[in-house]
Amino acid sequence: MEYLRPVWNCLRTFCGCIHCSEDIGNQYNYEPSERTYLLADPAIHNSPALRQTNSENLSNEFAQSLPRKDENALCRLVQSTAMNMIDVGAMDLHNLENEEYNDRIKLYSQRLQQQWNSIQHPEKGSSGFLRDIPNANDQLCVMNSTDDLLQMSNFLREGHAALLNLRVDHNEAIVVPFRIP
Amino acid sequence: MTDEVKKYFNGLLHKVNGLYIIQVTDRDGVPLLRVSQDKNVDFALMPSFIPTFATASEQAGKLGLGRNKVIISMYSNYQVVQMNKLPLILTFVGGEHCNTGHILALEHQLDAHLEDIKLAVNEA
Repeated sequence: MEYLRPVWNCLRTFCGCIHCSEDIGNQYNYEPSERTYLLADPAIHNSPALRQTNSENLSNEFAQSLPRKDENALCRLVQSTAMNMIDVGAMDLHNLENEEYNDRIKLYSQRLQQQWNSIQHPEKGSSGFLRDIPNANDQLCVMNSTDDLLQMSNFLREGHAALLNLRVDHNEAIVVPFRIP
Repeated sequence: MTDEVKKYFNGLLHKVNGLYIIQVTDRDGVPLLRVSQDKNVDFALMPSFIPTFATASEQAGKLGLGRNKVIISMYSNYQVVQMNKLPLILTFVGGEHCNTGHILALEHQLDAHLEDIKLAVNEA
């Protein structure tokens, strides 16, 4: 990993700061994501293009000889090349140690247990017209007012009549999805 | 709750004819949830197989076709469908005659449950 430092120093010399990474994203239409750090990905550091610039002397030499405008342009060029390079060799870098793998399995299973025990899923909640009233059965049992009963039975009768009157007129061909699976 | 989620995933597994495994892992291939039928298809669940997808998906985006979210790999006896749901990776393993479209249609039915599982990974 020692060779990463000179590369980073080289880029810092060219750019002066990291803010030019935003310009890169805009200029080359490269969508930033959690994987597109500015040369923070080891895969990018391993790219052969950057290994060739592995020299502090080279960077110092360029920094002294190039004007500021050219430095920025070169900085953009180097970074966009690093981001756009397809690096198959990076695939070997993601292998986990066996111990860490097992530790993570345990950690995840513990967290999922905790989470699923605490989360109340909406489908598990009560359903129905009176779900927002606690102890709805008790409330209904103590309801003695005849007016309330009459009003409720009227609502029900009218609702039922309205449902019976519903009619569907087919005007066009209807495509019915099979709902598979 | 864990049993309910597994039951739900198992239900989905049996809805698609020829689907053998549904597995949810993090991007390094560490499994969070797995439901399977009795089939020996461990090749697709090896720790190196899944992170390779994550990298391949990322690198393939640089080819000029844009960022992809699903890779379907067809083999002589099996097919593997891998979906990028970062920080999770969803892996389906089915037989060669399994209807790939049916597997892809499962995505939307799993999304709600994946949100809960993502929390466990994000805390890490």
